[in-house]
Amino acid sequence: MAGGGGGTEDLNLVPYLDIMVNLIMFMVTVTAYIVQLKQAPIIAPTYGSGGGGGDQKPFLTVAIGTTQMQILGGSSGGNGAGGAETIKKGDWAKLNSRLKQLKDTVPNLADNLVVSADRAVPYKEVIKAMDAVRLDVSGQPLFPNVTLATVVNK
Amino acid sequence: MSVDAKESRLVDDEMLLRRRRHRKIDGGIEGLNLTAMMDIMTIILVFLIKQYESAPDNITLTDDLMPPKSSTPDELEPAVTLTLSQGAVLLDGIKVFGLVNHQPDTADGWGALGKALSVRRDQLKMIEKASGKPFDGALRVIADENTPYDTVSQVLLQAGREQFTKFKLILQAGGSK
Repeated sequence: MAGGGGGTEDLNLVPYLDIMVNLIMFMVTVTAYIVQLKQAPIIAPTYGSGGGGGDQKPFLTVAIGTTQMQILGGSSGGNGAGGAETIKKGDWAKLNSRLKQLKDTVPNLADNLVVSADRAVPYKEVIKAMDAVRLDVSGQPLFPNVTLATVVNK
Repeated sequence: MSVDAKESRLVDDEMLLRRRRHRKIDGGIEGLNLTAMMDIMTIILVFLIKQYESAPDNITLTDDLMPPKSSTPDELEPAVTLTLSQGAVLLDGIKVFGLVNHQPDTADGWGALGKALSVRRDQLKMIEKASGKPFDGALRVIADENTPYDTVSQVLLQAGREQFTKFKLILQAGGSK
């Protein structure tokens, strides 16, 4: 047999090392271009007859218009945060602080908050509003459960 | 192999061994030891592969599909993926219809998405029956940041009608709180 009887030689690691170096360079380059993604769970509005809802907790709605935002109070039992308050669109800090005040002052306010927007409002502004309502400035949960209101075509 | 050739080979091997022994006695440079380097390289490679593995699968971002930035801390979970780019709606990577001015370019309108979602839901329910893996109604929605809310809303409405009710909005990490 050709080469038979030869002494044992060391494993040549150089080609293996070349492959490893190329692989590492590839992996480093690829991971540098990967954008880190996260997910935000939202609650979908439900269909149904409503079933009275007399003991429903008062809840807030943040409505985003094309030029301004509104905090609307409401509950099916009519027992809480009523009225509307207008905030300049894009003033997320003010929205956050006002919601914090409402949460601290209105008793039994639901953790759930409805975000609604005008048809033409870009998606990114809805997400900014969701970020503004999720946590307060100290990082404590403010309204962690967000329901997105849908626009129904008649 | 001839006898001369065998002898010559044996002599060569002997000389090589003698040279190696000689070098060891002298304490000279024996050649670069690559084993330690290989160990380092392997560890780096394993680390990078693990990091790559945790990266989201099959989500390619382009100028046409750039999700908004958010401060949400939740990690991605696997689910049916609905992609809403500037020009098309895709369900699990398959185009359902194109979008012109953020409106469907099909005669069925948004109903076409409802049909596609119902087919996918039926598939998942068949899997549920066959394998016991429950259909949880989870839907990942990846939408471009400039998509009007009306379009996002229509997608959620269609999905809700087809029993996809656990929405997870896919967003870029790094938004301000």
